[in-house]
Amino acid sequence: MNRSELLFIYDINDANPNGDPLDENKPRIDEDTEKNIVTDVRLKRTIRDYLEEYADESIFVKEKVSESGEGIQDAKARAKDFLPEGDYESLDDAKKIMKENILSECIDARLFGGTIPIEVKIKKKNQSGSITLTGPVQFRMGRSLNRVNIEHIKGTGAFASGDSKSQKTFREEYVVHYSLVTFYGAINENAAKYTHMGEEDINKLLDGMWNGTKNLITRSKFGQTPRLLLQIEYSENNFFIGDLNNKLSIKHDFDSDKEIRSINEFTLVYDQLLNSFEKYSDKISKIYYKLDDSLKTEDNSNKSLIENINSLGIETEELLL
Amino acid sequence: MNLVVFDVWGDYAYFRRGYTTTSTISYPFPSRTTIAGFISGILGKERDSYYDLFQKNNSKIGLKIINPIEKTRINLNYVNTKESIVLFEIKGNGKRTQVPAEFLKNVKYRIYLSLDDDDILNEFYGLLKEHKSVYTPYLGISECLANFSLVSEDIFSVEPIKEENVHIDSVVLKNSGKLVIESGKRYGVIKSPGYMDENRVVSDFLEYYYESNGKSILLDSCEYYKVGEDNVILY
Repeated sequence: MNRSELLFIYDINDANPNGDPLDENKPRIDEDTEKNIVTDVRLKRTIRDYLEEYADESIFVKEKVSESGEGIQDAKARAKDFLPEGDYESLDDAKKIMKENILSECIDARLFGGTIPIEVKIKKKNQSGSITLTGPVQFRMGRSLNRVNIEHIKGTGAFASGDSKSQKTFREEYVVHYSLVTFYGAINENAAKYTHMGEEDINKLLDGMWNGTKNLITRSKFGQTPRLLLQIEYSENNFFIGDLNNKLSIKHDFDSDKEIRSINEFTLVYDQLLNSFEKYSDKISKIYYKLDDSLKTEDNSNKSLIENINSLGIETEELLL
Repeated sequence: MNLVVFDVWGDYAYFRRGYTTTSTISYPFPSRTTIAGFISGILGKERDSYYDLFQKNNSKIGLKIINPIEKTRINLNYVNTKESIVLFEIKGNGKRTQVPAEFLKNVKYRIYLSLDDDDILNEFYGLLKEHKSVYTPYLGISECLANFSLVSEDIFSVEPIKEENVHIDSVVLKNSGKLVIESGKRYGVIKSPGYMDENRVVSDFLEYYYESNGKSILLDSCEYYKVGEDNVILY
């Protein structure tokens, strides 16, 4: 496995890509730049839910209610899956066994790591500790490339708020008109050794990013569309370019980018990204990509992003997602 | 004394106070222990294996604030993991807590490093020169991915200078000299972990004065190092 970096772009229309729980669930905004923020954990949630529901993977951090009902009971039962009954000599022994079991079973622990607080009976005494794993896959907070408008929408609910009320309740929500969200991530082959992450896991990660984003059919996320996914794989150990999300911008004909309402109204500008690729082309082994046709990446000479990368002599391969 | 000088930056940083689980306030710049961890991550040192490299008697570190310290609030949703061993179906009352966390935004620092162990210092310099990092570098927490670059093509060779009324460009230790207050500057004082023993226990805290826009600090007399254009205090 080699070091690679990820660049992922998706967009969303008239919906809420990531609500702020302490601010009426408004879309998160960086007040200074008026850009939309999406936390890394939102993207990880998307990936986890997709892998569990569509790819039949076990997920460690999950919040779905199981068929069996009694959640807590069930969790304890499930915990025993990770730690077989028995007498353990020390907390470290139990920790080791548990860690290996969780890693072999749960793809999200292999990808993203985690901190797992544990409590085990050692010689009839409860001992507690924690397992800490740094995940080989890390994402920076996502940011929109355009400045966004927040719209406050009010409507009527279908139900009354209590018995013997004749009026239905009101509901309100906040949406962004249009947000083009960019995520930058890194996949570290050295950290992968600790969590036993393999190539197959990376393929599932990319699948989860692209198709998980597409498949979110909740009201607040419906219509999210993945537009670009790049996996830049390096040939030289430990080398990386870094900061990929800050090498992109958009070009449009409006007075303000707040007026953008759809993918067809702007072009992606990526000169800085290409410059970096060119500068380090001897260190890049391959760029895997998936590009949605609607995202305009043609430059002045009418070449798309992928054609431009190819003309630097860098090998590209389309991801089959 | 040999000194490797490099810049680090990122969209966000979050240097939480380690002595409490409830405070979500960030230090304005990484503590000495955080810098040691950052450097060890680039070198690929194992967890808990590098504390003796960065002790008082065998290492010197300095830090200059380049981008003004800007803070922003990002609200996080915490999960109560005490419910069970496994984070599984943790739903319902009291199992989620919303926490306003104070992140730093658009940070950039210049870091100065000297180690008695020349081999490791040279290895570190070599990695920076090729823009390599064994583990992914980040500022405080894993989602605050960072980038770095060498400031100069060479390793600096510096000697301490003693002088009066000197403008220091880095953060300064509280006991380096007497601070002369100038108008138009925003001073701050902060205390953060300085050294750790092999059990990851903080053995000593360090207290600093800093200027939060990265301007210089005037001291009436102190021992400092001249690094390129900058006057730096190492600790």
